[in-house]
Amino acid sequence: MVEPGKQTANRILKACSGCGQRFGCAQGEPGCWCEAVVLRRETLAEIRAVATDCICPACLSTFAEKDHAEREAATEVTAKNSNATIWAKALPHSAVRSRGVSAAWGIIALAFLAGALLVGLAIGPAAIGPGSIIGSVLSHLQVFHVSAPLSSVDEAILWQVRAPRVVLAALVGGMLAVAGSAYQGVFRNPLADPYLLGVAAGAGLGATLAIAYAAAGTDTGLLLPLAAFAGAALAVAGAYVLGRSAGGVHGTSTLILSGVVVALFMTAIQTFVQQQRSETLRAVYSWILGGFGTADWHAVAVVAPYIAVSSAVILMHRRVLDVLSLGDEEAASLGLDVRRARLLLVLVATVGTAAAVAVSGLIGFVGIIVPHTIRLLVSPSYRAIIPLSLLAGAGFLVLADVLARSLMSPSELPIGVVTAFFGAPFFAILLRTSRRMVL
Amino acid sequence: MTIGRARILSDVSATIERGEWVAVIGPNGAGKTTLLRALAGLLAFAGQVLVEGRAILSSTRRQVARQIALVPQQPQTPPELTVAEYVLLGRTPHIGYFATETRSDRLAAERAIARLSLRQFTDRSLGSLSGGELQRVVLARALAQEAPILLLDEPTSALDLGRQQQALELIDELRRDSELTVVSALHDLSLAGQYSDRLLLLDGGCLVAQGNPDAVLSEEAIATHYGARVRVIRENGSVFVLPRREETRWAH
Repeated sequence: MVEPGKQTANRILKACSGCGQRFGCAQGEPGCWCEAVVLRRETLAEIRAVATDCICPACLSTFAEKDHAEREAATEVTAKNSNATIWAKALPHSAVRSRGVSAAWGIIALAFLAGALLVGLAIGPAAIGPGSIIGSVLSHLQVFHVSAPLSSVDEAILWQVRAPRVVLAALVGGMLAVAGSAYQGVFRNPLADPYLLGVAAGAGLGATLAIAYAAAGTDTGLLLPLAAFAGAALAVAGAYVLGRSAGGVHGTSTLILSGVVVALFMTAIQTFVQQQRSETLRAVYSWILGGFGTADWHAVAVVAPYIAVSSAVILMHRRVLDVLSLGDEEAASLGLDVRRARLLLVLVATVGTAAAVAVSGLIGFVGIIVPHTIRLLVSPSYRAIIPLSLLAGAGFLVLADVLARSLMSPSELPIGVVTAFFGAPFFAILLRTSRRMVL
Repeated sequence: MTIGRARILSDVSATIERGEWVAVIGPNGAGKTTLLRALAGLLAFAGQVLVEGRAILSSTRRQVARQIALVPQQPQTPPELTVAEYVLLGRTPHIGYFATETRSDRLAAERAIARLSLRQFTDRSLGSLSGGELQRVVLARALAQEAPILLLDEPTSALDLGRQQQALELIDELRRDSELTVVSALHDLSLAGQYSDRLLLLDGGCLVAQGNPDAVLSEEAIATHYGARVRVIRENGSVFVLPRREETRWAH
């Protein structure tokens, strides 16, 4: 009944999804033989239930005859449906999917992070080789029954000095990169970074107040992160409330301007306080430059939950961020509650960033350079950008920290100097050699 | 089915039947786009839009998007996205907030792509497509949404004469075989008259006339509301509106 006729569409040889016979198939393009067969919706649904891809002429004939008989039986009902959907016979295959993270890029990013962690643990004044590090890791895992290859001093250096520092750098780097991508997606602005809505100014003010006015004898090591976190959260909350009350229809640009206003205001207060207490300038300045010089397991334990929750929530928004890339109006017409999504994303990105800033100071550049590198190298879809930024950001900041502490050893460079000094030229080269547009 | 009984701009009230093609016409600034946005629930307004008796404004965004697909006049088409990825975004109302699309979503997107003869473009980036192809892709996204009501804001504004006709024929075909209700803003009155079942004529935010094209498109009405001198030609049940230059200018 079905004649593989005289059409000229490009055919490929394919195995029938029903019986396994090989047949020529033009995948439902105009000119495919199956175009000549008209079926009712019910029959199409039946075919779809048993086959996942196109079916061969013989199989389709069977269905078509049955379809024909049923149609005869109920002529008046089906008259309206007689031009039913011929296209659905070329049954769907796997071509339609979002790219996301390919296995290759996933492995590359994981390898980059693992390599960076190993380098971070290996490099320092005491020489500890990568082999001994891996041996030491295995010895801590009871199942492998490996004896510790390191002396107790080296063990202590590795696990009490270097490891917390490396882990903290990885957490902060991953967080800043993911928060940066989230901000860029939410604001549809390639220049957005995690500090866009005043996190930096708020944290700076909080830290300055803590350093300047803490009662003598208080432990600023404990107070400072808290104050910085509170300042950062307050600044973004202020910017958001101001943006919402002033913004209305204008969407994100009002919010960004509100962030600028809040940041300027807080910076003014910070400058005033510094002026009053000029003896604190040095301490404040060194905090602002950022770094992991004081990292310990306690700091890791304090920020890890915030960073874990925050980056997990942003990861789960990767498809929502792609929807937001169509603009507020179209995202809304696709059923997305844009305001709620934006609030949630800004909220979790801010909490994570504030936690990172509280333990590491203000480290610039990571939040912009890492997501854009992924965007240029891999894909502009947030399904790739978010997970890969998490891994690459972590690895990047671990390596930057290695440079910061080893280039001028025994003194340390501020890590922000390292991220910008090495990040900027790398990004410039990438921008020149890549033909893709940024956003 | 009732979409209408809406008081949106100032006094617009209409009922749209299932399977109908209704064209919204009117001069620039008459409120055509605003009406469509209100129908899609994108605006807060006083009054009501009911879809099958259910008020749009009291439904969630997701519920509305399962009922109504909107194709804006100038859709955002991020140039780096592939056709497949873009059409899959149309499945958003069927996908959980934190979820990613399932097999059935991919099948629906696949059907929409095949229906608009876009299979050979599946993996192409949007930036590499022509205007006409891009418009089919946007329609495919709306089709993948599987909403029974399709709102189109000036679907032909960026197309040449031939492609305008092809696009409208395609929309008409989709309407018939997917049993869609179509509401479109249309600039070209002749096209509006030939493709739609009914016209809503807006002027200054008010619904000034509604009915079949033959009744709404008159030389007087167009002169009043558009300030245009036209000839209306009725032929074989179709209505053509032709712009006409003032005759005094011909004199010398």
